[in-house]
Amino acid sequence: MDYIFEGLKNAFKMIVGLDRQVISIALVSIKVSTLSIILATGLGVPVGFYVALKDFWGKTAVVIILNTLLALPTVLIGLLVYSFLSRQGPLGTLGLLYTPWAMVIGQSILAFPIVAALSLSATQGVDKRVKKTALTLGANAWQTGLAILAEGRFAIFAAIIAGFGRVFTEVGISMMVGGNIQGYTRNITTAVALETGKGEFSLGIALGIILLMVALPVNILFYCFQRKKS
Amino acid sequence: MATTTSLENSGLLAVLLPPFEKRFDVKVDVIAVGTGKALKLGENGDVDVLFVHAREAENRFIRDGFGINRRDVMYNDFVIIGPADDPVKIKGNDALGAFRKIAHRKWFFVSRGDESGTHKKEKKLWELVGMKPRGKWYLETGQGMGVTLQIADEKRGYCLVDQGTYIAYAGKVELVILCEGDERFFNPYGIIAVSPKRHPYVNYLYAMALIGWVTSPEGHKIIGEFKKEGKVLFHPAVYKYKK
Amino acid sequence: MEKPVLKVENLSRSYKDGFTLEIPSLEFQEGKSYVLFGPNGAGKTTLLNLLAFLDFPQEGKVLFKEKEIVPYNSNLASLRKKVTLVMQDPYLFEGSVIQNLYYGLKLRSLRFNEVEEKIEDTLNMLSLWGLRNRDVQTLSGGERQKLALARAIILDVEVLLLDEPTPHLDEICTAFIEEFINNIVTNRSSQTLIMATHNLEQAHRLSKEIIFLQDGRVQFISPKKGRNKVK
Repeated sequence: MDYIFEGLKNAFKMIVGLDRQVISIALVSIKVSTLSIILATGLGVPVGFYVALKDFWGKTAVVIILNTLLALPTVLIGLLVYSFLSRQGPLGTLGLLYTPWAMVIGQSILAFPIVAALSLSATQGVDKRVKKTALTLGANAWQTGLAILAEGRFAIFAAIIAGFGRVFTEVGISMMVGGNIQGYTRNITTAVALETGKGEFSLGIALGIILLMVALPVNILFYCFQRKKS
Repeated sequence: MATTTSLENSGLLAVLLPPFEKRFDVKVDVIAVGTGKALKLGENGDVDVLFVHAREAENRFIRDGFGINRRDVMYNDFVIIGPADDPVKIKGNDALGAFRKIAHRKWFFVSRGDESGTHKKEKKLWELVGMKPRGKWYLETGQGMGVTLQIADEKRGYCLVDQGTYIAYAGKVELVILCEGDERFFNPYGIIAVSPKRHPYVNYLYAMALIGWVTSPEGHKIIGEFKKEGKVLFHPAVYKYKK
Repeated sequence: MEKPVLKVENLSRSYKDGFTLEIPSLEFQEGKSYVLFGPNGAGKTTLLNLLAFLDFPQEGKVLFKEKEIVPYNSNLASLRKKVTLVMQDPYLFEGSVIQNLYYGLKLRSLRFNEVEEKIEDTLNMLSLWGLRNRDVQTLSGGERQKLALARAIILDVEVLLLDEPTPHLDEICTAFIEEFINNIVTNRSSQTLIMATHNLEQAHRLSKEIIFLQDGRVQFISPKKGRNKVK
């Protein structure tokens, strides 16, 4: 028990004292995950929205594919990105492997189906009367779409937050395509996974606490948005 | 037994230990971690014997009373590997010169960054050059040799690695040996028993038996004949001892 | 000089469940008020949706000022700005009363400060001023109905369509809204008003022209006028 208390004590000292290593690691997590969720949202919300409202040839296939992508384990996505970005792979000349960009690519792929699928159900959950109401008040197609999106905004925010929560805490992709390089691609999850094994127990706890400090409010926000929509 | 990942990865233990296990009717649990962690395990009394390659740390370990009866077992050499076209031109046998050139050109150098034996040797070399490597070109992976080599390969950068591990991975990476033969690259392996005075419950007798085995003529024969890709990875200490 | 602002010719619209609305001919004059009366399922809502250009006939035509309305008309949005429908059980956008009122005006590119006075007037007309900043989810049934009405009349459309303006409301509220509608009719001589109700007394209170609908057909129109020929 002493061992754990000692670890907790040192962890708090690190956080309060803004230990340089801890800050560097946390920043990598924040930068990579934020960029990833922005990309995933930019593509995911329109896709979810469109698929929910339009009937088109192959729609069922798209929905099935989306749901399958949701189930992809992070190591598989990591493997996929790795194979594309490594020197032997098709995009090897870009030299992106073991850089934060590789992590962003992988995490975007992870978050996209989450944001898209939840945006899809968010859009479907919007009251069916919104379309006619907007139209009869004079909205054109674009404005009607925005009205539907606006009415579903809480559920869509929830979708984005869910996506963020997922990428912020993932480790498979970060490990495989990031390489845990200090000050560069070492984020909270890879650091906890690898540094603790080397005896850096306090660092591991400090990072774990920071992770919770982000994950907890994120989940509370998610809950609030979910409730608001109903 | 606590040992380093590079030793475990070399595959030597898989041939060296079984005859011992059979002869003495005992099982050896190998825990492969970085040298730093291995020494920590010894200090805590979590293991009975250490088989590592970090001379200065080993000396401190014994001086502090954690270990006794250290024996040299074998040695090999470190080398600096890099891309075949050697962009910084480090080819030769000047370790310090090589490090200096890489730092000056700020070419990618991938380090273990994990307090392993390899990392400690690397840090010592930087110390001798008189600089602390820092910057976008110096990548610390904090992981084992395998991953570190992979990243070096990807980045087409330089890396310090022990010969044994390199030979084991040679087929998987495009990096080649560029700088070798400098006497500073000497990499001795030692085996130490955890002191029963410090931790009375350690398996001291069998630890001593193992030490006896690996330093016996039979043990040396196995070590000396252990080859990968047709090359000998480790040189037994008794036959060719360098200071 | 009477000009039909809306006209229906040989209209047919049927649904999968078998219901069909069939109207060979029907005209609505500019500036007049009409009531569509009929039991539930008679086709009142269907007809109103067609007149609001929210739905389109399978056969026949709907004409606005002598021009046929077709689904692929690129002008549809601007045409819909001239005809608005307050639906039975209307949907209110998430937000406040004022935000809902402003929505239609925003679509017409009117800035808030330009229409602030108009919004205030409309709120007053419908006794909603005290509720201006309230979240719509907190409104009572009567208040919701008034807001939906306000949202439509603030737009100064040419044709105002109301589908069951007082559903399930108490007598006081019903009386208020009916009086309000009668005021619009009196004060806005250029606006055409077409309402649907299944309450005969209400129909009589609201308008002199009553179009009786049943089973998807116009049964008769009262009072009878020479121009409206019904089969």
